[in-house]
Amino acid sequence: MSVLTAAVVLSWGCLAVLTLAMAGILRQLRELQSEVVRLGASPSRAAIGRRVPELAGAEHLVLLVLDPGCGFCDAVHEPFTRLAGRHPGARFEMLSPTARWAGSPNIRFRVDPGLITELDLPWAPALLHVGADGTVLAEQPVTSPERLEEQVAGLLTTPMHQQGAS
Amino acid sequence: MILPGASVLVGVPVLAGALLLVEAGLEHTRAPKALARAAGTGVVAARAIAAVEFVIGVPSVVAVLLGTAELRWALAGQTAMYVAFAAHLSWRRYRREESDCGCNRMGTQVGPGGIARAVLLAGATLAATALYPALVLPGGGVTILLVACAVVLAVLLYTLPAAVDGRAA
Repeated sequence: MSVLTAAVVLSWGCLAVLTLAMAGILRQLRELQSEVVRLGASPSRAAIGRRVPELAGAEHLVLLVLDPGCGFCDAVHEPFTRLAGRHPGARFEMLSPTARWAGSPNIRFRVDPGLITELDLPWAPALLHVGADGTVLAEQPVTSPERLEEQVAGLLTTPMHQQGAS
Repeated sequence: MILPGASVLVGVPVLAGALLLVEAGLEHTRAPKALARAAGTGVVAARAIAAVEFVIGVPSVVAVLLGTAELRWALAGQTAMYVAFAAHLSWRRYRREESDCGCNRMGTQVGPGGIARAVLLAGATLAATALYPALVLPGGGVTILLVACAVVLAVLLYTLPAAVDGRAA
C-alpha cells in the first residue's frame, strides 16, 4: 500500500467519523423537537396549585428535585447545600428517587420515588417553591449552578407564577 | 515487512489518540471534580488520572513523530489507558448508567460513540506498540500534512461522543 492510498483511506475514515457525528446530531435534534412538542402539549403536568401534604411544614419550602440519570444534578447539588443559611425564613430540602446524594446539617434529604412520580416534573434538576400547607406555588428547571442563588431568590419573591427556563 | 502506507494508516490515529490524551489530561487537571464525579472516584484519584494522562500523552506524541526506541513505554501506556477507559465505559453502559462519561468537558453521557472511540484507539495504539518503531509517521515533507491530518482527526474524535451519544441529561 502506497502512502497516497493510505492517505485516501484515512480521508474516507475522517468522512465516516463526520457522517456518524452528523447522524448523531440529527437524531438528537429530532429528539429535542419531539420533546418540545410533548412539553408544549401537556400543560396538565404543571404541579402549580397542587397540594402535596408530605411537603407541608412550619415554613415555606424550597425543594430541589434531583434525578440519578442527570449529570447536571451533581453540579447543582453542592451549591444548593450552601443556600439554606442565607434564607432563614424558609426550609430547604432535596428530593430524589435514590440515595445518590448526601444531605447536610441544614437541609433534609428525602428519598421518595413515589413523591417524584406524584409531582411528575418535566425537568431535572427542578426547583419548587411550596407553601407551608404543602401547596406548590412555583416550579422551574435549574438553569445553571452559578445562577442558583439568584434563581432561588426569584422563586421566593415571585411565588405565584410559573417561571420559564430563560 | 511493513508497507509504507501502513505507517500512515496506524500512525495518524495513534497520534490523534495521543493528542486527545494530552487534551484530556489538561482538562481533567483544570476540573478534577468533574472527572471524580464521572469516574466515581475522589478528587485526589482524579488528579492522579489527569497527571497520568498528561505524562503518557506527551511522550506518545514524541514517540509517534520521532520513533525514539526508549519511548515505546509511552505507547504501551496509551494502549493501557484506552483499554481501561473502554472497559470502564462498557461496564457503566452494561449497568445502564447514562451519566457523564468523563470523555471531555462537553458533559457527554456514556454510550456507543465513546466506547467505539476508545476501542479503536486502543487497537491502533496496540498495533503501533507491537510493531514499534515500524509504524511511526514517515519523515520528510509529508510529515507536516500527516500531523495536520492527526489534529483534524483528534478534533473529530473529541466531538464524536457528544454528537453520537448526546449530552448527559
